[in-house]
Amino acid sequence: MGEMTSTEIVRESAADRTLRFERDALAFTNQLYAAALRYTKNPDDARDLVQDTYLKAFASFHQFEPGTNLKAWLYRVLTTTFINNYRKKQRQPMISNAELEDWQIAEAASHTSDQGKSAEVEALEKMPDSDVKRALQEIPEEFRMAVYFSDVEGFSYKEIAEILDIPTGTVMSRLHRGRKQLRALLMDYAKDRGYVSSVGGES
Amino acid sequence: MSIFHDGAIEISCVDVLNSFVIFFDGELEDVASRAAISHHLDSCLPCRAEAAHEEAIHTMMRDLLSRSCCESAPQDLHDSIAESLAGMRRGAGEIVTEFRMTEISIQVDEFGSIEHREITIESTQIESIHPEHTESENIDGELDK
Repeated sequence: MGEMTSTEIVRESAADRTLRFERDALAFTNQLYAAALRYTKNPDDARDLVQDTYLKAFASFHQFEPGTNLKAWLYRVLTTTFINNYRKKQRQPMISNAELEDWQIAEAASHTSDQGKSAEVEALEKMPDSDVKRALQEIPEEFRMAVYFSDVEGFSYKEIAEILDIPTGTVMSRLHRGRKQLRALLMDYAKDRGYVSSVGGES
Repeated sequence: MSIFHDGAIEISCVDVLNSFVIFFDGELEDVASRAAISHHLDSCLPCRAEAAHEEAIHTMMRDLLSRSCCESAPQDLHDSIAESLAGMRRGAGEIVTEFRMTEISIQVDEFGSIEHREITIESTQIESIHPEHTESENIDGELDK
C-alpha cells in the first residue's frame, strides 16, 4: 500500500524580487531615516540603522505579503533592527508595562483656564523646530515613538501596535502620556525662553 | 434607543476629557461612545471649550512635529543602499525551482505488524538567467535531474 504526493514550486526569480524591492521599498528611505533619528538620536547611528534595516528587509522580503502595508512593514523591520542592534548599546531605561496601565483611572483631568489655553497656543506658535526635536528626544523612547508614528507618520493605532508589537491599549496610553509630556516640556521651554508673557496653570 | 433623548448615556467631564486623545485621532470606533461625547459637549460649556482647545493643540502639535522631523537621508546613504541592492541583483540572476516529494508507505505483514515509512525528497535547482552559466544543484543529492 502506498501513497505519493508531490509539489513543484516555481518561485519568482530572485532578480525579479530584487527589482520589486528596489521599486517599492526604496521610496521610503527619507522617512525611515527621519524615524531612525528619533530612535538613535544621532545621524551616524541613524544612517547605519537605515542601511541595516534595508538589508534585513531585503533578506526577508519573501515574507512580506504583497498588497499589505509595505511602509508599516518596513517600520516594523526598523524597530526590530533597532531593538536588536542598537538599544543594548544605548542602555535606555525601559518603562514597565505596569506603570502604563490604568492611565485613564489615574488621570485626574480637569478644565484649564482661558489664560492657560491662550498661553499654550501662543507658545506653540513661536516654537522653533530645534526645540520641538529636543523635547521629543527628552521623552522616553516608548512615548516618543508612539507620538512620532501617530502624529508624523499618521499610522492608525492598529498599525502602531503592529509596528511596535504591543497591544492597542498600550499604544493609546503611550500616546496619551507622550503627548502630555511633550506639551509640558514645550511649555517649560517657552517659559525659559520668554515665548509667553504669563502662563496660567490648570484651574 | 436613541441616546439623544432623555435617558441618554450620561458620562462625566473627566471621561469626556480623557477621551479626547482617541476622539481627535478618529480612533473612537464605538458609536455609542462617540454619541455620548457629542451629547455631553452639546450641554457642557467648559468641556466644549476644552474640546476646541484640545483639537487646536492636536493640530498644532501634528504640524510642529511634521515640520520639525522631516530630515532627508544623506545622499551617500541613498547611494550605498542602492549599491548594496544592485550588487545582490547582479548576483541573483537565477530562477530557483524547488521540488519536494513525500512518499508514505504502510506495510502490513502476515503477522499483522504494521510498518510505516515516510521518505521526503527535496531538490532545488538554480538556473542562471545567463545561459552560459547554467548550473544545477541538488540539496540532498537523492534526486538527479
